[in-house]
This record gives sequence, C-alpha cells and structure tokens, in this order.
Amino acid sequence: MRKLMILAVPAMLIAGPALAQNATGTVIINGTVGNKCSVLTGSGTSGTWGTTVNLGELSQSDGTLRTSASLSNDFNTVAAGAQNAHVVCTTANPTITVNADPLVNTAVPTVSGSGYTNTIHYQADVTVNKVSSSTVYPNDSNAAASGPTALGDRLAAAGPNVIIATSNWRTLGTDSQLVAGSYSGQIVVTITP
Amino acid sequence: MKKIAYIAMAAAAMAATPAMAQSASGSVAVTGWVGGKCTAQTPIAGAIDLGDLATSAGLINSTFSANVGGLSRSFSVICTSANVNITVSSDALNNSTDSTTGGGYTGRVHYTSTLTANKASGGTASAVYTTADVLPAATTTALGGRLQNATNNLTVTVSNGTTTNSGDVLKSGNYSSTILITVSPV
Repeated sequence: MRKLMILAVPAMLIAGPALAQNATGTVIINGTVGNKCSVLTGSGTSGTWGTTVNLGELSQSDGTLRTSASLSNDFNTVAAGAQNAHVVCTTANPTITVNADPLVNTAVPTVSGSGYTNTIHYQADVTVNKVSSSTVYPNDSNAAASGPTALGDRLAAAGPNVIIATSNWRTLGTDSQLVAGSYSGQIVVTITP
Repeated sequence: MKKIAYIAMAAAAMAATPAMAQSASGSVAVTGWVGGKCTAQTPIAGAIDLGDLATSAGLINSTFSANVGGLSRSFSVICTSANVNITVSSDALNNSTDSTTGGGYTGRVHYTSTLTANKASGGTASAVYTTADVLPAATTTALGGRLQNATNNLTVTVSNGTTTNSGDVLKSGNYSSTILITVSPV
C-alpha cells in the first residue's frame, strides 16, 4: 500500500491543471494623406476655379479710364463672389503665387508717349483666410508675378478663403486716352501644397 | 516482499495445513489533463495598407477605397476549450508628426475593427471595436461554442473611417495604428 501511494503522488504532479493559454497578435494599419490642394465646388472638387468679370465700359466720357474706385467696386459687384474660392490643402504651409496681367486691347497697338494707350493696369489683391489670420497677397499688373510665397499657416477650413479684389486701376504716364475696342486681362492665383 | 514471505513460511510450518491462495493486488491511477489553451497556427501578425486616407477634398475616405491588398486579414487558431473569448482593440490612426485636431484640420482617423471567428457548430461570432479620442475598453465576445477547427477561422476587418469632427481636413503625412487581437479559452 505504501508503494501504491508513492506511485500515485508523481501521477498527480504530472496531471496538474495547466494554465490557460491565449493566442494573441497584432495587425499594423498604415495609411497616408498626400500633399494636395483642391477647390471645393459645392458639388465636389476641382483643380481650378474661375470666372469672367465683364466690367463694361471702361472709359469716361472724356476717353480716360473710369475711376479706380468705380472699377474696383464693379469688379466685386459683377463677379458676385464667383471670383473667390474655397480651397483646401492637406499641408501645413501651402504657397501662393499671384500674377495679374493688364487689360490690353491687342487689336489696336499704341505708341508710348502718344497720349493714347491700349493697356490698363491695376493691382490684384488676393486675401487668404488662414487658420490664425488673414493676409493680403498683392500683385500689380505692371510687375512680375508675386510668389510663390509661403502662407505660414494652414488655410482656414471655412470658405471662401481665397478672395480676389482689385485696386489702383490706372493708365501709365501721360498716355491716358484709351483706344476703342475690347480689353482683356486675367488674374491667376496658384496655391500649391 | 521479504517480510511477507517469511511470515507465510512460519505459518505454514506451524499449521502444517494448506493455506488459502493469497494475492497481492494494487492499482495505479493514471490521470491527465488538457488545459484550456488557444494557439495560433501561424503568428497572428500582418499589416493592412489603407493607401491615401483622404478624398480629393482632403476629407476622410470613409470606405478606405484606396487600400492596397484588401481590408481583411485571416488567421488560423485552435482552442481546446468548449467556449472561446475573442477580444479586439486598437488605437486610432495617428499622423506620425501631428495627430492634433483643431482649426478644421485633424491628424487622427478613427475606424472600426471587426474580429470574426468561425464556430464549429456553424455561424460566426464577432467582436467589434471602434476607436475614439478617449479609447474605450477592449471588446470581448464569447463564441458560445467551440472554435471551428479549420484554417483561417479568425478574420479581422477594418472599416468606417471617420474624423472626430465631421468635415475636418486631414493633415498630410503618414498614419499608423495597431490592432490587438486575443483569443482566450473559457
């Protein structure tokens, strides 16, 4: 009997309950958000935005350019907000480039100093609303493009956050008499992530 | 054994009569145990590449449709127990350089992990976990039966990308998260 008991003890040691054993593991999830800027259109996105602003008669009864205040006001009124945009960028510090081209009547060349001109200059004033502030980025049509300039902040999430206005409409020097015809120019704003 | 033989011989000499046959008998109890255990046939490990998380508008692509290689991964696990708990949890997808939220932007993407186990009796059981800014406790679901004894009997799937504030633009950069999976015997 003593021997049986001795045998039984090691049997119990071997058959003791084991600890629960779990199976564990991990799955790594990765993703990226690329550097991108897009224009929100209301129904989707686009890479561009734009409109045509017809300022109508540019000259006064004496043939000289209408006042800058008048043209600036008409620019905003006629464009009716279509010149502005809601731009979103995923990057922390996008850049902006502004390039204003003068309104030119290409059909009628003029000679400098003749008193006549086929070119109207102005300044494009592009206001960018950012998360922490707003800044105006100007470019005169009589100068090279401005930028690229770093915004120094993220674009404001709410739109429109790129607002285009104009100022300082003028003719140059003594060539103040506008020649008749159609004039066209453009303002190009480029925002890069 | 020696003592037993000696006593037997003395008794036989004194009595001088035939003794009854006497056997010595015993038994050895043999027992065993199978512990409750779950073992992964191959390591529960993998990676899911969600690709570009943002739409062209910079918002979260909630379906993760830019993923590379699918949104699910399967594993083979065996368990000895009659019931099994499956547990899943994760952190959010955080931008490696800036995971903050503010000003209409965010560097954090929330998502749902669904851990599904096939049951031996047929059917499935799932544990579903969705991240939040304050992470909830891990989600545990009991199968209510044995785990199917088959390969790829455990599958995790990610879905439903969201941001803390709907409409937030995602900050560019790399995002990562880790899903933790545990299969426990009950």
